[in-house]
Formats: sequence, C-alpha cells, structure tokens
Amino acid sequence: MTAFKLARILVPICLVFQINSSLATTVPHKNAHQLANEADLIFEGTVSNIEYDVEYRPTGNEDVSEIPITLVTYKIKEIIKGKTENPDEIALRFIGGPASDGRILTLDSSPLFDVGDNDIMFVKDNGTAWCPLVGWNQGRIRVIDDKVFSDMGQEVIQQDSGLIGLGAKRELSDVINNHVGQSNLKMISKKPQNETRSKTKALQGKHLNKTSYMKHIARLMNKSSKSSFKVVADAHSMVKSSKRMAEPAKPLKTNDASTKSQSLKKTADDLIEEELVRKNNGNPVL
Amino acid sequence: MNQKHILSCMTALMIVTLPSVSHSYNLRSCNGDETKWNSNNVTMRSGNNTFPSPAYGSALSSVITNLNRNPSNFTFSLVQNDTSVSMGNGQNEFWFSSSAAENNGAPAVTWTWRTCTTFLGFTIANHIDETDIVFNNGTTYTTSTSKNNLSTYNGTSRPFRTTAMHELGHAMGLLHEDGTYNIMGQDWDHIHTNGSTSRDYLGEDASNGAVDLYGLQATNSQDLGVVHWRRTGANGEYSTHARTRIFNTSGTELTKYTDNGEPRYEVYPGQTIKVEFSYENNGTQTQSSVPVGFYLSTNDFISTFDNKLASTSMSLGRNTVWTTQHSVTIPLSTTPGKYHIGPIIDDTSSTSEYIETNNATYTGIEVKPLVFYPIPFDPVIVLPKG
Repeated sequence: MTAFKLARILVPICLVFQINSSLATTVPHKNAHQLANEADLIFEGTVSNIEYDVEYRPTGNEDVSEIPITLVTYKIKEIIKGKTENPDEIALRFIGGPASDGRILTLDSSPLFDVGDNDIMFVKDNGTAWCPLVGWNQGRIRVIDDKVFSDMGQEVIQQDSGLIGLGAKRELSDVINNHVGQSNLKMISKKPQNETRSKTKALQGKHLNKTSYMKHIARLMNKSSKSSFKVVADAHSMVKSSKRMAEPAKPLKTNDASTKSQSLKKTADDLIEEELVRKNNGNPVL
Repeated sequence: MNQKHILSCMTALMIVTLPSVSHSYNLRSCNGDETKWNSNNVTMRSGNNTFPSPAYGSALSSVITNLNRNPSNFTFSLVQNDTSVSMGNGQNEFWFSSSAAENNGAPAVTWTWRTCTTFLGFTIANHIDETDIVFNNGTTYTTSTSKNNLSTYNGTSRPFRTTAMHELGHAMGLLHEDGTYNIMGQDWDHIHTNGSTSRDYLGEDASNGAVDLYGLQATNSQDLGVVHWRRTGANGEYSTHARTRIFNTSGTELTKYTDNGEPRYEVYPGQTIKVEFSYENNGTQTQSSVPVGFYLSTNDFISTFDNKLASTSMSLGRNTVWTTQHSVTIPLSTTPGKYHIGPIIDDTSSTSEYIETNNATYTGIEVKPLVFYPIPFDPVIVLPKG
C-alpha cells in the first residue's frame, strides 16, 4: 500500500474519531463530530429578523415567572442535515433578551445575534431547549468573509492531523458587538499586564473557509444520523401554542460522594509533620 | 448597507492581517460602559427545597468566604433556606434544577439580568440587577475538599466548590476566559492542593478583573499562592489546564507515570531538574523579592519540616499568574523511593497574609537507583542526561 493510499484511509478515520475531550467545562465541550451528529438540523443562513417576546413559565420553585425570549429568524442558504417546515427560513427560540420591564436577560454561553449575521447553525430541540443549539454557543459557527469562526471569534482550523479545532481568537467587530433591543452589548477583553509572564499559544492549523468546513461536517455525519432526518419546526408556531414548555425544577438529591480514606503509608516523621501543621492551622511554614 | 454591515466588510478585510490576541479577563459593556453591580456587596440566596443537603449550603458559604478574600472592593453575602426561588423575581438565587431544557447539558448556568438605559444618546442606567445560578441536578457533584473525592485527582465527582466559584465569577460580571490559568476557564482544575486537601479560589487573573470593575480595596491585604496547575490551551472559550511538569536541564520533560491519579516523575540522586509551578499574587500590592524554597518530602504535604533543597526569590505584581521553572538538585544521598517535591512561597513568613495554607504545593517524584557499570580499575557512575 502506498503512503498516499494509507493517508486516504487514515485521514477520514482521524476526522471521524476526533478527540472526544472528556474535559467537560461548565458547558461540556462538543467536537465537530458531536456537533454534526447531535444536531437535528444543520444549515447555513443569514439572520433576517430578530423579535423579542416574553413567556410565563415555571422556574426555580415558583409556578410562573416572566422570562424574555428572542426569536431569531434565519434566511436559509443551504441545509446539510435535517428538514424545515419552510425551506427558505426558520425561527430559532432562545431564552434571554429584553423583558417587559426593560431589563435584559443574558447568559454567557448563549449566543447573541444581529440582523445580517451569517452563520452555520447546529440546531437541537428548537422550541424546548433554552438555547436550541448543540453545546450552547458551540453550535453556532460564524461565517465572516467566507472564513469560519467560533461564536467568540476563534478561527475554526484543521490541524495537520486532520482534526478540526479552534485556533487563535480575533478581535472581530461582528463578534464583540451585539445589539439586544435598544442596547449595544460589547465584550471587552483585557490584555495581560505582564505579557512576558503569560505567553499563550493558540492551536495551530489551517483556517478553514465555509465550503471546506461544511464538507467536513457532512463527512462526519454517521449513516444513522443522516437517515434520521426530522422536520424541525419554526419556533413562531411553538411559542404561540405553548407557554409552558418545561416542568418546574424538582427538588432532587444530588450525589455527594463520601470521603475516601487515603491508603498512604505514613512514617513517624510524617505523623510529626501532620501534627505540627495541624497546630499551625495548615500553614506549611512551621 | 447599515453601519454594522460596513463594519463587517471592514473587519473581513482586516482578518488576514490582524494578529491573534493574547487575552486576560473578559468583561461585558453596555452602550460603552462596563456592566457591573451598583453595590459592592451583593446578597445571594439559596433555595431551601431544591438545594440538596446541608453540605451544599455549607460548601456555598465556604466558597463565598474564599471569593470574598479577593483584593477588590466586591463581596457577596449568603442567605440560606430561601423559600421561594425563581428567575426575574429581583433576588439573586442559587437552586438545583433537573430540567434538561433549562440545563442543555451544562453542569451549571448563570443568568444575568441587567438594566442598560440610554436617553438622547446618554447612558442613564447600566448595572447588573439580578443573577440566578442554576446547578444541574444530573451532575455528580461533591462538596468534599478531599482530593481523593475529586475527579480532578483520583475521585469520581466534579468539585461543586470550583463550579460555584466559576458561576459566582459570572455573577460578579466576568465572562469566560481562554488565555490564562483562570477560574473562568475550566473550573475543576483551577484549585489549590497541598497534601490531601484541596481549596477553591478566585485566582489572580479573575481578581484582577474584579478590581477593574469594583476598584481595589482600601485596606492592604496580602496573599501569595502557588499551585501545581498551568494553562495548556483553550477548549472553546475556556482555558484548559493541566499539571505542572518537571524537566531536565535541557528542557526535556522527564519520564513520568500516573500514580494514584497523579503524575510522578522519575529522577536520580544527584540529578539537577527544573520544576515548574504557577505562582500567584492574590493580594492588593506588588510583592518584591519574595523568598521561595524548594523542599523534598516523604509525603504530599510540603512544609518547612521537609528537606530544603534550593531557594530563589521572585517579584509578583497583582496582575497575571506566572508559570515558571526553577532548578533543583536531588541530593546524591537520597535513598531511592517515592517522594514529593514542591515550593513554599514566602517560606520565611516575611509577608503577613490573610491565608497561609495556599503557600505550598507538590509534584510527585520517584528517585530511581543509580546504575553502576563495573569496569576494571575505575568504576563510573552513569547518570541520565541532564
């Protein structure tokens, strides 16, 4: 087998079996394979309209709270997974936005939108999830000047290994500035005050353009995922038909693991040190 | 073409030439002004019927105490057993939720309500006025501070305290951070451990963000710290962290293996190694010429009771975490076996600090026996390179 043939086999394998990071952050990480396969609908489109509304829904342990919602309508350019009721456009429903008292509700991991934004969207549970994207804002890939970026402005790159990842972050006006109602929200990133002591290195790779990225995503979709296309409804109809889309939070017990005992052998010196530290309130300077 | 579209086109043209940006903490502004609380003390409340077991209330209280040791003017207070919690009710609350739609897979989320009002182009109100922190009941949390219970080390449960600290960072007005070792990145491995006990903390970079928003507290309050964690990269908008390392003098990472969930490096008697740790100044003032000692211990608690191998000094501004390496030589007389090596910052107690327990940490090593090659007339000790 020639090296070329081997590469042709290995590269797609690498693309399919990308590193599935178990390092779940506050919002669990989703790699490109997960984005492609967990989404009900994947499309490229342009935000054509943004509407604000409120719902009365249960949160916490109260029966009903007024919660602002944002309906983001996309004019669809291309669908690469799933179907929509209207092939030309779809409205996605996000919790957050201006409330009736003028206050604005936001969540750091939920994306903000402006009319004209061009995105590739990985939609899941539109109309029921508080953020109808796979992995919150990880399910929104921005297309700017034909290049693809994360919601936060990191370059979507392909590494030499074939894996897709996020590279250097760019200060892009479209990313850091967003209008919510009448207000302009801006993300401010402060530079380290001592840059020589805080060198950071971004993941290296080829910054992908829209076409390459969408081809990769199509390649990563499992056969079962491709064949189970379902029709994703427009959020407008769901918002009108239902004001109670979630059950109230239930007072469940959360696991709190019991303390494991240590099985390290302690020397006489270890025990003396332990006692000295205890008497010194944990201060290691004895 | 509207203003935003013109900006978009200009931005697009600039993408190819813009350098990547090295970031520290991130904030949000509204209509040009940074968004923060109007008050420097904000009361949080935990719901009585969705908040499980008293251990969680106690852990929350401890997290808030730790956060309140930051050098800014900002503090939280905690009221427990709130009978009614919900979003938008004007109160800042914690609760647990089992709603998949609400959590969308996240172990916890922080919802922020802000007022941002302009009149004739002038901002007349811009402040956070409610924050609600919702923990996912499907996440296996532990409130334990024993490292053996934490998935960060050799346990199976996510540390509740670091996640709560991360969410409280949002509640202060901080956004996620991917460029620095930071609680606003991955939370579970932004943690201090010496011996078997781990401690959550806000950290130098997030504290710097808090000072930016709320100003530096008037009272001098010092705290130095050192951890065995470092930033390794970014995972989306979060900084990723991993354990600090040990190198030979050529800069090659030494051979290591995993021992009880933690790295252990192989070293030899007489070998000079470079030990890496992350040093922080969590206090209000720059600290100059801070003494740092490096100790060899038979256990994982580094103290001045242990064998001091080397010393150095460093200056730490109140700004950015400093991950750096120092040379240490393993004594030739060291008996082969398992040890821990680690620094104690301010090991002469020259700085009075509000918390002293975070001044030391460790990395596991195994001192391997020297290999002797018997040759006629003149035995030669063979040491590994470096």
